[in-house]
Amino acid sequence: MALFDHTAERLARGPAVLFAVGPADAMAEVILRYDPQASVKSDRFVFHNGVQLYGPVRVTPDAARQAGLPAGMTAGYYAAIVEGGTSRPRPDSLKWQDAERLIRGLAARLGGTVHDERPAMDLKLRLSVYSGHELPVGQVIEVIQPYIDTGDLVFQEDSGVSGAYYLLTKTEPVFFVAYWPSRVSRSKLALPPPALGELRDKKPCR
Amino acid sequence: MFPVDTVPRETCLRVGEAALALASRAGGVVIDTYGFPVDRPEDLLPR
Repeated sequence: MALFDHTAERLARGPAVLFAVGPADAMAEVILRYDPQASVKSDRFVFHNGVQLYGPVRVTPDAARQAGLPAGMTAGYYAAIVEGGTSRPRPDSLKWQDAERLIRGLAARLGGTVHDERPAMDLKLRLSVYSGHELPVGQVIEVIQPYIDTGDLVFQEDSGVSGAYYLLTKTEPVFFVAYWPSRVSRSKLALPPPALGELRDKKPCR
Repeated sequence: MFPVDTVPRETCLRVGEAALALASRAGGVVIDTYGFPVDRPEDLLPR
């Protein structure tokens, strides 16, 4: 795909990931990790969270200058969302957050440069463990505590969501664990990510 | 909580190890801040 007016505009608007050297096959591998059930349309990848990734877009020095892109880039991909739509629509604002996360994740994994005209989200280091099997809280503490050197994990129930709880240390830097029961996976505000593949449909706990 | 772009390497690896240990016990999958699966702690380090 060559860079032309509309494409340049979309790439310049972002969120986009740009490369000095195109990532070639590595991009396809990473995309299938992000969503094993992703589909391919003529000019884009379509994911199960309402996000789409367009590209690769060839970037020439002239086009980069016109579009306000960083110098030295030869290829790029930009994300968009499917607005509204399905029987269980998610708010578009959440899809745009997923789109930005995808772009920043691709940049981190493939050594790309993020370009986005919007302010970047303040993303924190957060790992989620999704499982079809709920562990007793004692086992969760038993597994995690050895990795923590800022004190013992303290249990705290969530007052608003039955069955949800937190584990946290009292000393800085605070190590924080949140548990959400499987029914929360049915909320359109907290849908499991596409990377889970078939586990996503089983409403895992997190 | 640490901003994902500037988290110290050792913290990143330690949190990754803890999450992978929990996933191993629960038969689960670890997903990072961006929505990508994590197979080893080093997956969390920028390339």
